Amino acid sequence: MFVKTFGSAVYGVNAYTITVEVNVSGDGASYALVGLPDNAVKESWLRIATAFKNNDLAIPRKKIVVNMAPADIKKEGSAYDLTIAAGILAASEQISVAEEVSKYIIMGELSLDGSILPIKGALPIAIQAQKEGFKGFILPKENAKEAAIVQGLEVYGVEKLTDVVGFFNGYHHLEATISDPRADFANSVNDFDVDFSDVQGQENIKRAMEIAAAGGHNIILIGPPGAGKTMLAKRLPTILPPMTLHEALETTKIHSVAGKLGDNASLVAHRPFRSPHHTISDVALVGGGQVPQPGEISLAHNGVLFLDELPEFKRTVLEVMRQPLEDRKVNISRAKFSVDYPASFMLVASMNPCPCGYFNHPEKDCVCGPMVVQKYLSKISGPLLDRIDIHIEVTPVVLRIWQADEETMKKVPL
Amino acid sequence: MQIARDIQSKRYEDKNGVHCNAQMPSNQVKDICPITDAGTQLLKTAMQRLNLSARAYDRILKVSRTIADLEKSEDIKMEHLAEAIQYRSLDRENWSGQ
Repeated sequence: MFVKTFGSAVYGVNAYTITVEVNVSGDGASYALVGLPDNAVKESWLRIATAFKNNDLAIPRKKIVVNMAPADIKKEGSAYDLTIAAGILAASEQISVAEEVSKYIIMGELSLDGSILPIKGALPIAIQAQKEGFKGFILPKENAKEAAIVQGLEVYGVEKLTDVVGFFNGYHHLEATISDPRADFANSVNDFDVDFSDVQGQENIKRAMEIAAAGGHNIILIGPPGAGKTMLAKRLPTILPPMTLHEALETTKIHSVAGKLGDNASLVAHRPFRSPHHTISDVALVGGGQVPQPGEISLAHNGVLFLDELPEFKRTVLEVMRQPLEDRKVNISRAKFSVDYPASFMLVASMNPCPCGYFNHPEKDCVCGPMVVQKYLSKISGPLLDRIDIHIEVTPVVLRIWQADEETMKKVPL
Repeated sequence: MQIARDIQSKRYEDKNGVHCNAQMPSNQVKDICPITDAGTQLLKTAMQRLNLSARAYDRILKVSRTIADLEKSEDIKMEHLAEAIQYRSLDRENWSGQ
């Protein structure tokens, strides 16, 4: 018997529907998988066969041919296990309603005991499924909440292979996961454990950061060690305006593709704050890799990318940010693929004015020669600096102000 | 602050992918950030003195738009522009004390 099931491949932040055709007929037990599958997809047969055995499902003693179309898109990863398994079950009539199976996108990784493991990119897949008019989306339970953000699509989270069989054969009831993104979004309170009022003094810098936060402008903080650069930057998320629903969806999509949402997570309701260490590589920052993955700049989409100690970053790493800073998206092109990731982030950087850190310090003396200072500053290229709207010097807080502040705080009950 | 973002959300309502002033496309900078003649003069002087690029020009306008939004001001006043300019201190050639 011939059956069609549907899966999805994620490229960039968009999904493309993959048709999985399964034909079970003829004599002699054999299995063939065609249509540009990678190794992980080819290996799926062993997982499927073992899972069948462990769940008292029959492996058809017939010729099984599986074709994945369109053949020119490379199919990667283990998320097609469930798509193929459902196809084989329907084609061997262990699922009695073959035409019903074709109305759903079915995806998930199979474990040998038949349990279903989470996948990446559930949100873009659900968006595409809804666009193409699919009835529903069957996926691992852990990803159900993020897919349920899409309205007008029945989303079923499953835990075991037998749940899927039971669902189609009508003896196992699955509850559709329902999520109301608006309510979820409204409920997410700003629960930060730091606060901008922790910062004593530094009024001019607070003002500059307020402007940066209000308009989403890039900002660089320059100052000696201990002046509070990092402290100020870390508290920036607390004064950022809340995300709009549209922004939250964009950011969630990227986190979904990167598999960074976590189990049972739905919407990313807070603006992301990414602070990669300065040993980061350029690919990790902008994205890329064998299987293209969004980098830190895309994960910081609609949020903040904080680069502490800017001159310590490798020069090539900083220069790759130039184009995305301007275009607000990054195009990763390799021989085998070309993908676009949105990367509209607010760059917050901090640096010392010189290697010893005390250049221009009101009390301490700087021990660096002018050449050394110049060399240190030239680590940050002109074009990069040109893209930063607000440059601000942070001077250390004088103890006196600090104490005065403390006294006024005591007097005024909060 | 929330008011400033609300003003921006309203401004970019019908524009896809633009949510705040920093994301303003350059062809709209002129329409969204109109400045007075005196402001143009100030910006011109600043550009020459500080050796600013054309990109910096746009960016200063965007920052001054935000400052104006924060003060709920319809148009960009001189003080908004001046504040935006002084935030470009690293463009000054004499920054490292020479």
